[in-house]
Order: sequence, then structure tokens, then C-alpha cells
Amino acid sequence: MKQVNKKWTTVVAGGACVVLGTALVGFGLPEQAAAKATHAQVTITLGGWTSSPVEATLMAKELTYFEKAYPWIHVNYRPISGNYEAILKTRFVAGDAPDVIYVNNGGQSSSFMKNGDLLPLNKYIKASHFPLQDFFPGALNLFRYHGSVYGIPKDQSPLSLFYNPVMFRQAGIKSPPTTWAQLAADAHRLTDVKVHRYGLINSAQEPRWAEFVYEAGGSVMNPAMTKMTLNTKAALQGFSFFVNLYRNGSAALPGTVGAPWGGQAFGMQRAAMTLSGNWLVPFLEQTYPKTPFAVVPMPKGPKNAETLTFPVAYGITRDSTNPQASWDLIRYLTSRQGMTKWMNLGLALPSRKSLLALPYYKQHPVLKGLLADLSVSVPWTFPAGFSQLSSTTMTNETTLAIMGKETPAQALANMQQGGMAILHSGS
Amino acid sequence: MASIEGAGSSSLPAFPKGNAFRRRARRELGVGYMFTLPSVLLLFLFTLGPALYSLYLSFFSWSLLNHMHFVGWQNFVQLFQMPLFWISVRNSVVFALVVVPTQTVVALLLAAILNQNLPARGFFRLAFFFPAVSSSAVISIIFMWIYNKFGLLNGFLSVFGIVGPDWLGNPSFALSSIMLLNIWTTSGYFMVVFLAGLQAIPAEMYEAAAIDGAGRWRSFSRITVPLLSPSTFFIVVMGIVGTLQMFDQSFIMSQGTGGPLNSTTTIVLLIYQFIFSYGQVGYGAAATVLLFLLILLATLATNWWFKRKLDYL
Repeated sequence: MKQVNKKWTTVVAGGACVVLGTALVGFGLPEQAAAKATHAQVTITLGGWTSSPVEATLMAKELTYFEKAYPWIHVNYRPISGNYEAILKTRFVAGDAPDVIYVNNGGQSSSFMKNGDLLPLNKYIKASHFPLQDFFPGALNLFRYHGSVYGIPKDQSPLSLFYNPVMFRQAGIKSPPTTWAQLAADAHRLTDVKVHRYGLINSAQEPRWAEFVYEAGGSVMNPAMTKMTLNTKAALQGFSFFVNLYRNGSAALPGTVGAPWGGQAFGMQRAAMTLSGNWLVPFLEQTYPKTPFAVVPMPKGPKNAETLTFPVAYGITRDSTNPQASWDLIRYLTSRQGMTKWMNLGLALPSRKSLLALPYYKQHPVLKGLLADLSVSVPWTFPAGFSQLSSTTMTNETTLAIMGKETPAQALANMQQGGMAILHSGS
Repeated sequence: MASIEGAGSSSLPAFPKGNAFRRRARRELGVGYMFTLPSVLLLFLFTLGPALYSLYLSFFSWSLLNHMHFVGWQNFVQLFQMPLFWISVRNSVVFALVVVPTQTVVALLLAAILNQNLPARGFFRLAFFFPAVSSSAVISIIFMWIYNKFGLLNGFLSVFGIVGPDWLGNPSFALSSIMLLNIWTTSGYFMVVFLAGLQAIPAEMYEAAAIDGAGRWRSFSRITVPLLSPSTFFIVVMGIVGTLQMFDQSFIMSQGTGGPLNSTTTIVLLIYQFIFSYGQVGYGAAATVLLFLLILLATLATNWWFKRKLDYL
């Protein structure tokens, strides 16, 4: 009995010591004391997709730096694998979305902003004096809705022209194409159907032909995204140029050479050229190390030199219980230093203009073409309610035009009509 | 009063009569319900509950993210006017019309052959049954390689000088390719069902028929096939339900798009796209209700047709 009592008192005394000790340590270090006084320990969750296990490991490392700078915030990193936005939606329905998420370009981010699934960040931006001038305006605008900012761009990837220099040399072509005419001529010259090699291989998705529309001086929608603008002469010129490359045989769909996407067809050396973003660089280095490649800016069109870019942002969800801590994380990751660390991993290109001069890009000249395209790129997006049109209908219409079952004008008219119908229904 | 726990273990009274018997019967009924309660709860929670909820949702407009509001029959009206919906119905029905008869006949032939005393019979039974127990996703991915433009199938065809198409990339071949895969994966399972049915046919029937001078074909068509009709009924119904609900193979092989040109968009794939990709839960729920009615009618029709000729003996 006595012994038990003794143990009991020891435990109590020990516990008191720990409490007292913590207090003493706290008083001893003013900085930490301040932190502890104003900040209770909080845990937030970060959700996103990962391009590879490498990215997940590097992200986890980045977060340990953050936790050192903000010791009262613990970040649970929970990447979502599979169909990211579909899974994210189910998490929203369950009221259980991560505090901080990757907000993607394209149709779904518009829905998230419109439906109030993301918190407006203006209040936090103002309170912490977070300057926005350094971000590419186009990338930032993608995550603005009715005057509020819903996401801080973490990175982006523009579409540029990847080409195989060895194939070019063998075909006697001295330099990569810089104009549409050269692109068409080179693609024709590099095509050899007997060995299943094509000048250009890309899928029939909208973000592989829209850049031609912009370069012809047209657009897919007006800047306010209240109207479809595919019924213009310029749009038809750009779209027809893309379709005709396929019609005359110097371009092909990836399936023609047994590849699931253009980048892989390029890696398999079945394509001399492909239009792709920065993500193709690590893919080629890891999966097809023997395929020689170089990247140049998108060839210039009759009116403009333009291309598409795909920015990704960090946003705070409406389910977040700790928006302030979430903002601290976003501010840290998108700060100059935070983004520099992220850029040095080479997974994507910066969304800050000042980071174009990073030493990393001097050591990796292969990215030069992509970097040059950043200043002339249109962020790829659609308003809410456009997912079916942008993912399925537009691909189908383009495929029909490539197969010759519809004229380019008919295909564009159908897309125009489909888009206008959605806009009129007001969804 | 005996406790519920006691009911099963207590020694049985020899001949319970009158009230005692009724009380006992009622108690046993209660115990029975208690035992089935977990399964019934699970059934309501995960099967009947969601089914009723999707019926409810079919009258609402909802994008998963906004506030749902009641729209009456609007979803059904919209769906009936939507060409894509009818494309998916056509794809699913054509799929069922080709796959169900083919897999039933193939399964019957395989079973009839493997019911003989053949060498390595066990090996072949295992080999044919194997696809049924493998993951459908894995098999779909393997078949994507086989169907690749430079895949195994085209390599085989090139031996005969045939230049094969890009099976899954060509709208004219994509659905047929998935049919072939589906027949291959399900025939083995249904073969086992037929084999069980074959074991139940008494050998005397065949002996009697042989004495009467029936040949092999005649005893197959006049004894085996009719006596197998309970198995055939089960296989046809399961086949109809399974093929009309086909989703995974289309989803994986078209990478979720139902393409090329909607040629592999089945009803269930469209339901998935409506709900999780396009944010039109109401359309998806309405299509679910229509699919339920389609399967119900198809099953009732099969039931009616077989009932007239079912030989349960």
C-alpha cells in the first residue's frame, strides 16, 4: 500500500515538474514565449496531387522547414491520389476538405470559387502585407472571382515545342521551326509513315489547339468569359492549321503509334515534335533517358506569338478550422524564398516574375524555351459548368474534324453552340 | 422467463403444445430477426438506403457543391432529350445483346468439353476460371497492351499480313474490343456454374438415350441443354445484370472518357461522369433510376420467357 502511494506522489511531483519546467523554459526564451502566448498549437492539413513519389518526398521536406519557422503549426501532408478534383468534391460534400489545397487551372476551380468552397484571401493578404505585384498577372487572375483572390499561384507550366534534335539533323533541318509555315514544312519532312514516325504527335484536346487560335489573333472566349468567340475568322484559321497538320498526315494522334499521350509518343521516338509543358522534362529524363530533346518557344503565328499556360495555386477551403495558420503556410510556400526552393526541384516554372533569373535556370538551359513562353502565355481556364464541354465535347469535335467527318468550321460551330448553350442556361 | 441466450442452448421440451408452442415460435422468430439484424442493417445502410437516396436525388438539381433544389421531372425530361444519354443506352444494350448470348454459349461449350474425361482437365478448368477471380482493373490494363497499335494482337495479325487498327483508339472497334475482353473474363465463371449443373444430370439419362440410339449431338441437344436450363436461367439473368452495369472496363480502357467519340460510354460510365466530373448529380441519379427500370424489365422478360420452358424436373 505504502509503495503504491509513494509511486503516486512521484508521478504527481514529476508531472508538476514538467509543467513548471515548460513554464520556466517558456519564460526563459522571450521569442518562443511570445509565440506560445499568442498561438495555441494547431494542426492543418495540406491536400494536393503528386506527379511522382519524388514530388511527395520533396514536399514533405519543404514542410519541415515551414514547421521550423512556425513551430506552433503542424502540417499533415495528405496527397490525394487518383482523380484529384472528383475526390476533392466528395471531401467537400462530407465537409472534410483539407485546410489548404492545390487549386488547378481549368473548369473546376471556377466552380470552387463560384460556390464558395474556397475562402477569399484578400483579408489575409492585406493583414500580412503580402505583395502581389511580383506574380504573373494572368496566373493570378485565374484565381480571382468577383474581385476577390481565392488562390496564390504556386507554379505554372506553359506549352512549348519539344523537338528531337537528332531527327532534325538527320532530316537535314538546321534549326527548329519559329513560324507556322516552318512548323508545317518540318512536320511534313520529318514524317515517315513506314517507320511509324510523325512530325508532330498531340492529342485532340482543346489545350493543344487553342494556342493556334490565339496566335491567329482569335480566342476561345472573351476575357470576361461571358461569350464564346470560336465563330471568328481568326479562330477558324488557327483551328484549321492544327487540323490540317493531321489531315495531310504530318501530325498524328498518340494512339496511332500506340502511346497514351503525345509526350510518351515523343519519348518513344515516334514523334519528332510535341507540344507540351514543363512536366515532360522530368518524365523524359526518368522514363526515356535515351531520347534526345530540346525545347523552343511556340512557333509564331500570323498575328501573335502566344501560348497557353497552366498555373496551379494554393487555396484555403471553407472547411478549414484554422484559416490563419493555413494562410501562414501559403504565404511561406509562395514567398520568394519558399518558391525558390520549390523551383529548384525543377517540377514546374515560377509564378513570380522575379524568379525567372534564378541560377537554377542557368544550370538547366533546356528550360529556356519554356521560360521564354511564360511572358506570352494565356492561362487556360473555363467558367463553372464547362467541364463536360471542355473535357468531352471539344475533344470529340476536334477528333471528328481530324478524321474528316466534319469540316473545321462545323466543329468550331458545334463547340461555339455548346458553349453558348451553357452560358445561356446560367449554370 | 428464459433469456434469449437460453433459447438456443436450453434442453428442448419434448412436445410443446398450444400456447407454449406459439410462444416458443414467436421467441424463435425474434431470435431469428436478431441474428439477421446486422446484415439487414448493412443492407439498408449501404444498398437500399443509397438506392432510395438516388431516387430522391433524381428530382433535384445539385452539383455536389451548391444547394440542391427540387426540379420535379426536369432531370428525366432533359435526359430524354440528350443525344449522349441515348448513345450510352445504345452502347450498353448492344453490349448486353452481344455479350450475354456469346458468353453463355462459350461457357456451355467449355463446360461440356471439360466435363469429359480429358487429360489435364483440372488445369484447363483452372485456366478458364482464372480471369473470373483476377482483378478486372488489372485485366483491363493488360488488354490495353494487347490492343495497342503495336500490341500482341496486331503482332499476331501481322503474321497473316493483316495491318490491325488501333483497337481502342478507333471508334468502330473500341466497344467490340471491350466486348471480347468481357466475354473472355466472364465465360470461365459461368463455365463453373454449367459444370455444377452438368454434374447434377443423372448418368442414367444418357445411358437410356444411348440404348434408344441417340448420338452424341442428340443427347447433348435433347438432354444436356434442356436439363441445364436452371443454370442457363441463372447465367442469362446474371449476364444481363452484369453487362448492363458494365463500368470498370470502359472506364479504364478509355481512361475515364468513354471515348473515342463516346463509343465506349456505357450508362454507368455516363452516370459516373455526370455525378463526379460534370457536377450534374440530378442527371446521374435520373439515369440510375432509368437503368434500374431497364434491368428490372429485362430480368422480368427473361424470367417470363424461361418460366414457360424451365425444366426443374
